[in-house]
Amino acid sequence: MGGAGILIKRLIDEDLKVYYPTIHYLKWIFILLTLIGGAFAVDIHFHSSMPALLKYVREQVTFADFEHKLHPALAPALHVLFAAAWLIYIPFSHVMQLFFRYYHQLRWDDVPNVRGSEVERRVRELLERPVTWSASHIQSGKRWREVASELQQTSLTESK
Amino acid sequence: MTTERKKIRLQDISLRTDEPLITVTADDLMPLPPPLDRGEKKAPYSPLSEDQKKSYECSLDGVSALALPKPKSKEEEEKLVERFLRGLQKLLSQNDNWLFWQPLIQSLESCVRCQTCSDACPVYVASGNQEIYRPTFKTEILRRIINKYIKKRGRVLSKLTGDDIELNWPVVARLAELAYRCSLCRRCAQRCPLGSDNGLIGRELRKLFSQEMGIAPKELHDSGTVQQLRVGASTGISSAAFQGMVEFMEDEIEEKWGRRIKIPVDQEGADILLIHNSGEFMSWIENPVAFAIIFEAAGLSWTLSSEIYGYEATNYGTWYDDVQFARIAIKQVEVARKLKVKKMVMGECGHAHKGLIVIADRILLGEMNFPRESFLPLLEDLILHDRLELDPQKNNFPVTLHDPCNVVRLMGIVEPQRRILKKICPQFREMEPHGLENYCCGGGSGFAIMNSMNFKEWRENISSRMKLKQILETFRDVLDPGIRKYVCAPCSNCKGAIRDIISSNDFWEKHSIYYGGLAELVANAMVDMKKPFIEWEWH
Repeated sequence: MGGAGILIKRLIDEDLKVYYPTIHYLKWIFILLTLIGGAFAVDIHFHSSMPALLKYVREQVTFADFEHKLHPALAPALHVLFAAAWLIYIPFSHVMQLFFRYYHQLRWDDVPNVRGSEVERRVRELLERPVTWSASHIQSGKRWREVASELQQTSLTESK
Repeated sequence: MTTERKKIRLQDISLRTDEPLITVTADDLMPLPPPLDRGEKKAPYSPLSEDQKKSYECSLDGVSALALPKPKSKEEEEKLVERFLRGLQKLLSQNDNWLFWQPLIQSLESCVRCQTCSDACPVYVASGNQEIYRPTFKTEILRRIINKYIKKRGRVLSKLTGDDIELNWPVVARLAELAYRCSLCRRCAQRCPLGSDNGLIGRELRKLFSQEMGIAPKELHDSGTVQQLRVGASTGISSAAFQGMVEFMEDEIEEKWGRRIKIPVDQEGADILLIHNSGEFMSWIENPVAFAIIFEAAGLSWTLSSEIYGYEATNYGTWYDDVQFARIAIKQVEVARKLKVKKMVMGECGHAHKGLIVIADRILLGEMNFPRESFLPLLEDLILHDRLELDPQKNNFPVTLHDPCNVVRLMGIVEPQRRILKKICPQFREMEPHGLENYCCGGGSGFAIMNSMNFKEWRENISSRMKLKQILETFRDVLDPGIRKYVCAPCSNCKGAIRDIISSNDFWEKHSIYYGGLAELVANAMVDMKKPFIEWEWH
């Protein structure tokens, strides 16, 4: 219901619709198919019976009933198929970004630059790279270290 | 809000029009509390003159922050668009933009377009929800330009991810101006469930324009960083002029404190090199005077520096240009090293805090990785451990605190200033919201010093509007002009922005609303002052 609600809201709300690229709707299709398939399987196939569902899962995982493995019931099979498709799609979408917020390293690289640290070593290397920006107040081609410590100043108006 | 406002689409950014995409009117603006809820509504900004409109780009919203000259031919336009694309490529390349590449790419990629950031943005809300000021407006346009012109994914995937922005000179000109409608306060980034930083994207856009195309506001570049690197201070104060100011400070101290002291200047081996922004000496010299009195009273080992670069804490490159930023930061730290002090302490300057202490962390190596601190923990230490004799009753008037974004939200120094004020100001009251959720004064990212064309009006009436609302709400029960009130703003640019909104609304005359820094309140509370330190004279 929540999934459907968000999809409807995204389709209807003017402010949200404008910014939503078409490809983002794809993830909702995957999610909703998986959830609907699951709801269908639980309700129709297993008749909302938890023990029946658990028995089925146990059989599948332990390969207890090979016949069922080769010829699975349609509803749970579809659900598993949709879920598998969703899992395959996730790395190709932006959904993985959700987890980035929990890792400072990935997000902002918050580790302070302490003398002798790894950060210092990396910065030292980076300062040897050439500056490629080409406004007149920057000496393009020289290394960052040189550009930052030398002073050949021109104002922006002089270059016009 | 006008009911007939045309809905602006993202694609409108490419429209070739003489008229601006929008013009914000008085009716659009967010309403203000009493006493500004009644009376004549004034338009937030006047249009540019006819001559100005002929020469300068203002097709975004009729405001010019950049005095961006209109290209004279189609060829010139095309060359500029090419340079913009080249710059955008460099911005997205880890090789060329290693300083800010990581958060930039993540901010561009992790947005789910929920628009939660919009309600957090003071400019968006105060302007009456103008679509172009939405934090994601410029970012989404940028994404689609990247999809179409840089990633070049192929027709189907391109269409699915959004590629419907036609890149032309109007887009480039409008983006250049739009980069200077965000004060980089980061309320959007804080509110975002995924940490996507639209403020950073605004700042990186500014960098693209400056570092590749040589486009930046005169106040930030020519009269800002270039001047600072040539003369020693962004205000143009030379070393000799600075020394004259120090003598003036000593006269002031004698008059107010009753003691003639010699302010330590260029003292080798002192514990602390105190570095103010030079705007304080020009406009609010009482602030460095207060620091001198406090440090002397506490018996600290400290010094100022009169050497070129040593008396200027600002670094406008923080807001628009990494190369200028690096140049200035290195020069500043070099002064401290030569003076062999134990640490550099920033005075009341917001962006100097974030710039020199945090951002410069990534370019200062070895011995240049010199201890740099805020004045706040030091001052808190002195006051909470009773190293100064203070009488809070001397500050017995309503006081509120404006939290400078760079110090509080962008650095995490939240409590020391409050603990100080709670101790020395019996009528201290918080603004709402405050602390990490504070609102920008409207003068952030250089806006406070950008006064050309009609930008000052835009700042006073739109980007500072939320702060104006907060001040009125905070003092709503004491608006009587018989009660003098103080907005404490420990940052020069914040003081400038707040001064402008108080003055343009006559709040000093009508409601006795005053403003100033934190050190002045501390000095005012000192028991051995011959005269009250705060003079309550408008300036």
